[in-house]
Amino acid sequence: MESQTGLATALRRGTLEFCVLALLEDEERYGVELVSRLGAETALTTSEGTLYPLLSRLRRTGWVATTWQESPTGPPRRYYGLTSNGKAALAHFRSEWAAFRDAVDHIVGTENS
Amino acid sequence: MNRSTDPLDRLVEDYLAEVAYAIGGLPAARREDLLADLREHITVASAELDPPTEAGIRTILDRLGDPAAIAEEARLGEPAPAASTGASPYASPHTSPHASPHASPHAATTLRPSAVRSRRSPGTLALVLVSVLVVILVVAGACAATLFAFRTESGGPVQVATPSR
Repeated sequence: MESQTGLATALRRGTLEFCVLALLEDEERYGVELVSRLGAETALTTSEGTLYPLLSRLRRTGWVATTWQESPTGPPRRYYGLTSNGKAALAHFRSEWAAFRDAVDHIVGTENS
Repeated sequence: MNRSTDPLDRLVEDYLAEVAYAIGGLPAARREDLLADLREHITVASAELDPPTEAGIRTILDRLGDPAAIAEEARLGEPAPAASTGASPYASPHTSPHASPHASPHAATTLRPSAVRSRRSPGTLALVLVSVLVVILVVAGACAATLFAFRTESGGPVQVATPSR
């Protein structure tokens, strides 16, 4: 049980941030929207709140930038968008990931599963 | 603002206080950053509830999740205490060079090379040390051997000379 949650955590560790970048590739999204999109994928996140430290890291790394925008219905929202460094990081991840996934599938025998 | 004594606000404030307590060990700037993010999330999400009901607020807080889990995630971003948290089986010395560049603002493309370099350097250092040791041993051995041979060679006549005296 402990090692299973540990495994899920370890697998998310290097990948989740790139899922965030990918969600921001085509459009800016505000926190609640971004976090509920990712929170819906139970394999990717434990809870919506755990994504905020990740978003904070991405801001500090300079892969995402935020802007406050007025909302027609409620309070102003902070919108997240991809920076050029973030775009480059996502492109780099895509090439690394494809090779990584293929290698693991090949060794572990999960090509067709 | 006129809802500050509202039981719904109390729910939110209690939740944020729990998070604040859980992230007590973090630097002040990180704590404030995270609490502001969560507060904003709650404000925006509750504005989307048409009438903000207690059940609605509870759902928002439930989905944000356990303050301890949020705190654990927040601690992972900090270079120093990262290895001492729940992820210890995976927080070997190999993962810590990956964790620390996240904290630096311009780590985007330098992340990988620096991690590789810092992982490789102890290995090359050991290799250099070992080869230097081997060279010293070989040279010392050779010196000792020639010295020994020289001494027995030149010592021979002396030993022969003593009994003749």
